[in-house]
Amino acid sequence: MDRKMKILVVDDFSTMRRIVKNLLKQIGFQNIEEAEDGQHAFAKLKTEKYQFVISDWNMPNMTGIELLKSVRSDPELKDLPFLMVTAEAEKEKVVEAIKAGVNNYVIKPFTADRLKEKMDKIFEKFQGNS
Amino acid sequence: MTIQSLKENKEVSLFEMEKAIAVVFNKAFEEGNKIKGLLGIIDDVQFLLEAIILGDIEKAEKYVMKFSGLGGKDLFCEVGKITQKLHGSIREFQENMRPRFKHLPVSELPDATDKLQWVINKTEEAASRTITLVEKHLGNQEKVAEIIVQLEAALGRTGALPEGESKALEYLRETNQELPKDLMEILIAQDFQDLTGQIIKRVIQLISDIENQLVKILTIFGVKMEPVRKSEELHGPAIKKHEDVVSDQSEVDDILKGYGF
Repeated sequence: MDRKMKILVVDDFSTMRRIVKNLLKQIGFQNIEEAEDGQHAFAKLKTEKYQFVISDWNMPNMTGIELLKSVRSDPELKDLPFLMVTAEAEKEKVVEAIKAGVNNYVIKPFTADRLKEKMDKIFEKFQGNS
Repeated sequence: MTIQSLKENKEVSLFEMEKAIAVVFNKAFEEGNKIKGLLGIIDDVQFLLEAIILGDIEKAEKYVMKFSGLGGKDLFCEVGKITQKLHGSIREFQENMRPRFKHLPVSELPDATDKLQWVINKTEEAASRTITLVEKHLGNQEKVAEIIVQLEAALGRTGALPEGESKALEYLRETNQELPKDLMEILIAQDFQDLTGQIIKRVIQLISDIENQLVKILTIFGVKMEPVRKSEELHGPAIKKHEDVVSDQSEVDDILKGYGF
């Protein structure tokens, strides 16, 4: 995977954004930006080019699932890799995210290895498809 | 409390009102059995009162017209008695409920919410300080790794190092290599702030909902709150596991697998 890719980390808790950002840096990614909710995230996605989104579910203004749906229904963004990282652990929610087109789903709390594994899996699939 | 003021609170009070009216009318019906022929009128009185409470003036007027049509001083006398009974029963109901409501710690609810918000702020502060330190040492670790490589190269050029120094250098390198893994552990451990924060935010929402509902009920009964100083203890959020909640990532992975991931 391309270490230079631009990644957007979306979470309303700054603690979690910093954790994910540092984990990504440790994996080798340098180009990471943050957004505090779905609304800010979507505005960023529309104005700058990102290659990957890691988003929380439960956020004010616009939730992660709403962001995912907006991304999937946007002609420019519809193929953007989208990883949900959330404390929402109901089976129903996982299925809802899958149906909305999520590329993978990680529940909090998670480890660095798990995050990397899920990201690798998404990239594998994208390379397989292309 | 008059019928008029009850009417003002009708949007929040209807349920409680209906209960009160039911009590009153049970009594009224008992009376009605004693006074033969009044049952139908009691029914009409009930409809009249309901119409007043619901603000349906047209309907209420119709019943008033009906009563005046019936005429007779005795009838109005009976209606008057029933109205008085109704008034008394509602007052009795209020008197019974008031002491119970008085001791509800409604006034302490905003305080409880503040305390919970304080917990969120404090944990966020602590997590933030920890992460700042972790970031600093992650940066240092990289620099130290480079320095060790430079040292090894420089010392290597001057010939074989004495065993002690060679081992010391190796120890430095190994210790430094272990650092990022531990720092990452410390970093990830800070996710407690997000997880506990989310639970606390939900509890805050719940408290505020309860507070709003209680205030509405208390307004209906015109209860003046007396601050009650009970024990200050706050219980942490109890987290129950439900069947439709996955317990770990492997279960999520199973669901994902089911969808061809």
